[in-house]
Amino acid sequence: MLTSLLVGIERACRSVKLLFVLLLGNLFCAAPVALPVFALVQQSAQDHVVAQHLFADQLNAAWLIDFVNNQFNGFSPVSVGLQTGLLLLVAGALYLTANLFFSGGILAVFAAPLERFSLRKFCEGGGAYWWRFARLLLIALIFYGLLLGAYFLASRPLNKAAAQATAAGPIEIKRWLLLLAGALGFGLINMVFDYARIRTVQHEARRMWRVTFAAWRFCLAYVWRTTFLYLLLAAIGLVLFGAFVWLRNAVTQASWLNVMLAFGLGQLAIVARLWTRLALFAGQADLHQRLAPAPALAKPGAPVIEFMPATKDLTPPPGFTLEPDATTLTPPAETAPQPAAVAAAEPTETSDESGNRA
Amino acid sequence: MKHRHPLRAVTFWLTALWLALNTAPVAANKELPGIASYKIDAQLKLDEQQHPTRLEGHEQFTWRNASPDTIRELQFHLYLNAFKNQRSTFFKESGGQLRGDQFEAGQWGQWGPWGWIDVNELKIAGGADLTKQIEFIHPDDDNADDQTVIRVPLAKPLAPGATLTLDIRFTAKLPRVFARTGYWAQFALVGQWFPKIGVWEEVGERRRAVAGWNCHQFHANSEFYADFGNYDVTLQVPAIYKGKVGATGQQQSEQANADGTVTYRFAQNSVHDFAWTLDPGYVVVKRAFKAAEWVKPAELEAMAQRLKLPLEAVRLRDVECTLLIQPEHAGQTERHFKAAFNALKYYGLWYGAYPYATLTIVDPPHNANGAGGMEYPTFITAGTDWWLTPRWQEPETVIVHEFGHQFWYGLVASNEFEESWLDEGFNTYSEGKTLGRAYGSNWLSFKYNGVPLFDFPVELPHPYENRLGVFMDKFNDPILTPAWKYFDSMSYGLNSYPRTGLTLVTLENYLGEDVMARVMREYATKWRYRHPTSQDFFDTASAVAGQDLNWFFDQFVKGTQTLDYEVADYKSARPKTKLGLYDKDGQKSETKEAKPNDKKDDKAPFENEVALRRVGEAWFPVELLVTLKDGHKVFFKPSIAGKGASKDAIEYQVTNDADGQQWTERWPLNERWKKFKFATAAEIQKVQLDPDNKIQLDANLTNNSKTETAAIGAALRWTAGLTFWLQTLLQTLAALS
Repeated sequence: MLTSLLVGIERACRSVKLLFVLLLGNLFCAAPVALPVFALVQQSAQDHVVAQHLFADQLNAAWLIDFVNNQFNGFSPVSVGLQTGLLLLVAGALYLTANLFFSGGILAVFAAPLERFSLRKFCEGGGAYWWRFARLLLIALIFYGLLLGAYFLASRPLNKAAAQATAAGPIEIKRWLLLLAGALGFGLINMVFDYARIRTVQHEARRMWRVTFAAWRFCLAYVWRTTFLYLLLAAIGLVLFGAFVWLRNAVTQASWLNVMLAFGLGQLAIVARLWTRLALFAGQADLHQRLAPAPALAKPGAPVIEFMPATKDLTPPPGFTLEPDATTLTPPAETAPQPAAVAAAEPTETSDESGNRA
Repeated sequence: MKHRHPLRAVTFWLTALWLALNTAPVAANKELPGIASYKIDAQLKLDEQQHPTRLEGHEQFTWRNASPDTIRELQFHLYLNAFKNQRSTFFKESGGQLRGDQFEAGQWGQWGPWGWIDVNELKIAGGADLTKQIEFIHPDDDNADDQTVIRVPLAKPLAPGATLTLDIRFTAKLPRVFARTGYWAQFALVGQWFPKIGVWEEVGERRRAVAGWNCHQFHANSEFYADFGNYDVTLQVPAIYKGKVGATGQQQSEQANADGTVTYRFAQNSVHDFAWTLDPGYVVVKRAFKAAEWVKPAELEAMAQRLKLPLEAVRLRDVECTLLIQPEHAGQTERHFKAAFNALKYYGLWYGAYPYATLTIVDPPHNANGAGGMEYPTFITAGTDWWLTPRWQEPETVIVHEFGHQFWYGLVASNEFEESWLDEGFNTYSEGKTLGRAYGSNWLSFKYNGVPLFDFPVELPHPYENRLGVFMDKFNDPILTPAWKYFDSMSYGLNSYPRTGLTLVTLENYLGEDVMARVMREYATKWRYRHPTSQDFFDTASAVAGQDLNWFFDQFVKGTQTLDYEVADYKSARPKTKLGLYDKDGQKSETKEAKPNDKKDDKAPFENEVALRRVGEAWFPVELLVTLKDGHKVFFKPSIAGKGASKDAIEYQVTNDADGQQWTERWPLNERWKKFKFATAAEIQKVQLDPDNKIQLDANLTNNSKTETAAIGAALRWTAGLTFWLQTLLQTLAALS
């Protein structure tokens, strides 16, 4: 587990170009919300003296209140709230979609023999796995939904008790504990589906429910190793992110230089989060590779033969025989012998109805 | 004895004479303390679920007819009947919702969560039994189901100056805590719990044309109105409440009874209501407000000078304070006392010393929100959270506000039903000033599951918080509207609280802090223990300020007009050569090309035009400041031209501080815009209307200025900040994929 942790950190640290691409993607998806806000603020303040007060560390209260009064005119926060919510939803959906692509790209880059970033490989991976990851996301949403349902079910007696309580403290503490349990549940599902994505790439799998169950089995079979790796990397990421946010907030943004400094520190905080994602993928991929390696791959450059129905008229092409050579032929994925622990836990997958290996 | 300057004496007597002439209605009013006095013996019993819900009481009630009228009937409030069923006026108006609280008609033991009061016997002491003559009346609406007011015809009319004593026996059940009264678990706030007489108003009192009872039903959007008197109340409570009872006035005794109950006696003179509370969970802490420790001699002297009063008149008194706080809030004890002491200090300095010996502060338990944030004489209920940050001014705001009601409605006993702005609005104004002095700006916090997680980067100086919401829409009602006649509860809330607060801040900024302090002090002193109307305040303000302020009150208290001025545009340029054909020596000569860089042009003054627009309907003498690029300023000081109803323009005295040049400009009140044209040696850098934001009633302060630069920095700075948090949010979402 420690080796995987170090591998994760090392690979994430080496992925500067990849981080840059991911940061650009993140910024691009934030733009649909940020730009209208920019236009609104500019329109409201541009040739007024208030702009001078707004270029400060704190929001000018007089401007903010007038801004809210004017934007929410007619006392209908619901409609404006809906508009803002819709805008956020669109940006969120856009980023979620893009991130499916990013995840495929990241794992494809990490799965490549040289592990060197190339935009082409990244894009190829993103495209190749997008639909499979989208299906995984839909399956994941079922699990997240179940978790949410369980959270609400567990909240009900708490809410009932809260309505009868004469002291708020004990109830609020229980609420926070429940929230913590919910967060851990979220982390668990998140981790399982990380391994599902990794397995999809490493095993070239196409049956997403099977991958999901295999990932659950894997996580449960190696519960300590997977959990500690996940928690350790998440903790490192949180500390990094928190440190940059703290630094960013410590900057008094009342001058151009400081605004740029704060923005830069903010971007570093985002990079810290992206780095954590990369480190998690790389570390978990390494752990998965060690504990549940994919079947051996074909020798590079060896031609792959397609089996066709043999007919009397068909003669093999020059240089080939009809009997497959065990050294050159790509074996069916996931039919290779597994390590004992995983083999016991995982059934082998067979080809699906379309002939693809699942 | 020192000799005084003879002119000072003449001025004093002229002022006194003038004030006397202007305060004639006061002299016509009766003196109020001691009109309605109550001696009550009450027993509180637990119900089968051990909730303190049942009350049995005997009220010996004395009423003095201080009017010149002969009284033929009495009218009483029975406010607990507002909670009797969903047909009461209170329920019809509120829909069972008040201040974010929902009245839940669930299973709450016998008689559910409902509350009621029955008068079992009402008779003249040693005389006729009037019980059968009791009749429910509905002076405000035609709701025959409302039982919150009764009338009792007297067998023998009561002559002017005569006194009447009644013996009243009543039974009551407290509702599940809601709208300022009720029980929750073993806690109870017992307010509006006994038959309380209305106010007989003679002709002239509160500007009444016809004498009569002022006894309103219990409404969703209103509070109370009563006459002053002396209260002597004995409360018998179960033993679990020993040492955990608080009430209006001073505790006189505590006595354990043989039947396991405990009897408390509380008494207070010159108040107009009585409330009490009990909860076995209370942590009881007592502290004294020591005036000498809290108010420095320099502060006293400064206040005496500001108010033009002798030092003794502004000196405060010591007050014994009792805090009944929930165990989970015990760590906030200091904050509660500090808030109360700050309120005692500032309200006392500004409006006269708090006259009572005690103050009781109650912290209701969780889920008893309906009991929080309420005021009764010498007794207030607060409200706090189990987790606070130092910046979050929650208990302070509530305590200062509720204490403020000791003055605005408590001592200056305006009619909360008919003129709610006189108590809630005056108190909002005073509360903002107190919090600003004692605690500085407020901060907006983000809370989740009861825990404040972070503060937004917005420093909210008082009273700016009052602007939020008030100007989101046009005004539906004037401030001066009876509480139950506002368009809706939102309109009641906005007009009675923040809009009034902003109105008084604007008045203060217009008159100056010293003059406003004297206006408020004069009003508070003159009407202490009396029932003033809005007009009494208007008159006091005009008299003390020495100017007719009706234009202000007509627009902003009695009207619904919006006030909004804007700088529409400005131009500032040197004159350019005018192109075209000109006659010169009998010949036509053409000027073809402008020459802006001509040396002559470089020295020519800038020709300026500043266009102002009155966007709202209301007008105000709004100040204008033009700043030039060389740092010099042109001041436009406004004044109102014309007097009384013939006010017709705002007259500006203009001064250019570069060369000392002065001139006047007029902006007729009936015109929506004005363009000021003037020349200066330097180009205009910025134009500001009301540069110090004095006019807090201006619906949009942002459009009060124009500058030459279209600054992009502000938008970039805040968009950059927002972008970061958006990115963080998106990256959190990315965990799903």
